[in-house]
Amino acid sequence: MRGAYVEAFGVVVGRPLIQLPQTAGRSESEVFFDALALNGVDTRIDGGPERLLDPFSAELAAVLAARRDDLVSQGRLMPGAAEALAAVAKLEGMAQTVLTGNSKPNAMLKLRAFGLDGYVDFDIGGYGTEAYPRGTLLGVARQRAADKHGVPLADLATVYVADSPVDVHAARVGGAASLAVAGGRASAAELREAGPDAVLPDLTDTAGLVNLIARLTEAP
Amino acid sequence: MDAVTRTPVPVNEPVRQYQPGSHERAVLESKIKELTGQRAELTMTIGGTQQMAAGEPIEVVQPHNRHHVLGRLGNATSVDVAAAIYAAKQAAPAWRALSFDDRAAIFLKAADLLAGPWRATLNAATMLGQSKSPYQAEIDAAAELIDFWRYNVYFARRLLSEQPESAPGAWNRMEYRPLEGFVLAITPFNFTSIAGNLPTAPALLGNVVIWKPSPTQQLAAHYLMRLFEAAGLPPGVINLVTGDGQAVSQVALPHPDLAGIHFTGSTGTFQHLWRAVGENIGRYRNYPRVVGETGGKDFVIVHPSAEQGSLAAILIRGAFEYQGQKCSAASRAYVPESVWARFRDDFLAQVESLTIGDVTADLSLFMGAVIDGRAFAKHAAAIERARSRASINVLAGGRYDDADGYFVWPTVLECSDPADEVFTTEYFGPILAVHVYPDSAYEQMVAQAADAAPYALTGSVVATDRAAIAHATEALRYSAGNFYINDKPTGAIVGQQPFGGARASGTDDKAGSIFNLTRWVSARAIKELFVPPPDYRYPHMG
Repeated sequence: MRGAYVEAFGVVVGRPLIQLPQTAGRSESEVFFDALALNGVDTRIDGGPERLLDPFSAELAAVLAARRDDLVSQGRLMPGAAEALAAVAKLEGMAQTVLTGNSKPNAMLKLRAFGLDGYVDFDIGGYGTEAYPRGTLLGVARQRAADKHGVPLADLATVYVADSPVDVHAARVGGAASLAVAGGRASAAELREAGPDAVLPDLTDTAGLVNLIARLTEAP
Repeated sequence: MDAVTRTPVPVNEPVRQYQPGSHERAVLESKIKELTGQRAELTMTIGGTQQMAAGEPIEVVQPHNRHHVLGRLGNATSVDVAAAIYAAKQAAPAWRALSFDDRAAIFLKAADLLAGPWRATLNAATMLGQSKSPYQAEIDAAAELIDFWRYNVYFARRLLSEQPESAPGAWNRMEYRPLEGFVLAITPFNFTSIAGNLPTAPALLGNVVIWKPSPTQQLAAHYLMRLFEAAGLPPGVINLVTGDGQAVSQVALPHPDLAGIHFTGSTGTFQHLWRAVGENIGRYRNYPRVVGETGGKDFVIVHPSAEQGSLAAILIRGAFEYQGQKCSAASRAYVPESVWARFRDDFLAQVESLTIGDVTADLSLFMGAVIDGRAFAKHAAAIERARSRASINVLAGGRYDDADGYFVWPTVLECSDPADEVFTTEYFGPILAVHVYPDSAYEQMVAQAADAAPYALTGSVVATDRAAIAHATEALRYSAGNFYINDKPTGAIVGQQPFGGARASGTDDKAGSIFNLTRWVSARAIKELFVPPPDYRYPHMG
């Protein structure tokens, strides 16, 4: 999605994006602020770099929407992901959402491109345009779910399906169990080191995954 | 750093006087002008990030000039409060891992910044937002808060130094762990120093904090938060949420990580908090520490032997400074007939001459306005009730006017019934009730006053007769947590008169003392045995 970043940056900042910072696992705002610094943009302008963030997010969403076909051709769907979402959605009293470095519109676009958006309640998610670190954002998303479903936060059992050690730590801060899945950015061994509640090599064993999530959300 | 360091020995911060023509007065005036011209965005600060709360906006006005808006805050939502809780949790491990010296240095630096470059800002914000005279702001936002920080560091070090004995062959140690979870600090409008102390005392000992100030104190609270940052407090250690506290009640009170509540405010709110803790008692990881300081119905008991020279000053300063909006303000006085006969007219004339108005436009005024429309309505109702009672004479004041600001004139009520509401209900305003008693009935008067009100915060006795002083001190033992002899019942100084009361007035944990600090730690006793016994058998077993 490098092309989309380059295009949106050029439109909003008015100069080309030459060096693209690391994007994986980072929030949209972090990437944007880094990009400003890396490309020597003077951030002492009126209101500081924060003023450019909202226009950038909007532009990026527009560019991504226009490049919908690229999303499908360049993106990658993990084997078993669609089946996993469909099966977990059938569990009693279960709500699924996303915790992502993307903005909400971009998260919706990306999941829609792969036909996964129907399983996800975007209202209760946590997004990269919010200024919080990942563990805090997870707590925020849990509170959104608690509010929407009228459940006290303390009674809300949550599993964070994580693909990096950072996410496993965030689960601990945000009050969720962690189910680490390898095949993303980290190996099973790296994930295990972070001490998650469970580890899976990938998403292909749908029944096993559903069992794990059911067990991790059981009332104590 | 391996060193048994010594923290600086604290002394009370000298109180500046702001005389006409002084440099400090000029600096203060220019800061008032600067803040008056702004319309501040009173943000929350969560995990070091400032943002407006997502709920409905609330305007902060000058109480003495209520059409002038100083700033705007948002009502924190449940999601905002959840963000604050998890940001605190995220910050906790690193904060707790810092040494006590590192944490202490931050608050000592905050004290020095407040004593120097930040002094005028906090005083001006307190005058504008809370309607304090320069002197009332100075003793609060500057002097007392500086004292809290310097003395808390000193007392905390003493607490950590409290160590057990060790028998031969073993070493016993005690460590003072921060509480496991977050501390909820809910702070009142009437003292910027309390707003500053309640979140920082637990933080000094390694706790992380959710801080919810009163919306009517939010302007000064906003600058306090900036001062914490300037002193180097890491993001997420103290998280400021704005608004009316509804979402705090809903999300923070039942949260399993609630480790403590540090509260100053109304009795009703404190009871709500305690009740919520009770209802959720099965949910918590630890039993939350509940520390609260609430109201008072503070007394001045005058004996026939009293020196009259200072009596008017005791009553006027005690009852009317800061419009009577101190928990410690004198609101009931018991005066013997002989003293009253000689003292009354001069006293009432002095009360009538007290100056009241916009304390930020005229720095020579004695009094400003009461805090908001709700307080104004409560005081007006109390005055109207008093007028309607045959047993009560309104001797001075009795005026109120909210056309420009929430002004209630200093009011003296004489009431013949010592059980009347004017002697038992806290109005939290510039209303002093006086009961005149026969000179021969001092002991009966003391006995009645001792238990007339449900509160027990402060009180004073004015007498020269030593037996009368001794009698009152004993008979009023449980009637005040801060008891004064021949002084006004207000103006406690950190390190000199540790402050707090029991009964309906609170948990008497004495803010700014080692007794308060002990509530924010959970001690762990460690015994290390150097040479363990080789066998389980005792000698008596043969």
